[in-house]
Amino acid sequence: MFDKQDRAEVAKAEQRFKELTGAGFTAAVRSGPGEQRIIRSFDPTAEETLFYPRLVGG
Amino acid sequence: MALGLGIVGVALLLWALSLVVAPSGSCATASRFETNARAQFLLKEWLSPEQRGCYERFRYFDVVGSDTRTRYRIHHGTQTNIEELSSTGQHVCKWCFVPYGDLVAGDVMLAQKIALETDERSALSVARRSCVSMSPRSL
Repeated sequence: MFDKQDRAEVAKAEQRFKELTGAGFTAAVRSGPGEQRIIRSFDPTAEETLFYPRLVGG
Repeated sequence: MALGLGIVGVALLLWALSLVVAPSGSCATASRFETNARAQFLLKEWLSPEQRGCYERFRYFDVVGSDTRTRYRIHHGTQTNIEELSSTGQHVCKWCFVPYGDLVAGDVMLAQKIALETDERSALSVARRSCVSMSPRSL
């Protein structure tokens, strides 16, 4: 969690975003009830960003 | 589990991964229980009202693939839990792909939903498909 008014916290969150996506995580944000979109760059306005690890065959 | 950022937040699917390094015994068991509960909560938050209602009643929900508009049924579970349905709702085959790591069912299903609804082809490109031919039953 971070406060979007706090530049240091936003920068830290963006760094974390880059670390995770760089490590192969996919980032998604909700765009409506039951709907979502994948994001490739950090969105500080997103209410929540969800990351999941790379997909593999089961 | 999954990771989420926010007041503006980040949610991470890593609660289960943390269990890999958790000590064995009751703490780990309690942690697993908590992890499952949090994953279920997160999953339900990301489902549409229709999907949530279906999941709560039947332990599965349907999604539509982003590229082919094919309908898939995601059953509660972590392995070979995705069923491809025909246009008439009949079983076609099963698919298995999961996010890497030891994740709990709620997290696995949420990643599967997002993947199929946003980037179906990529998801299926890593998936294993299994089709069981049904021989006609003699009456």
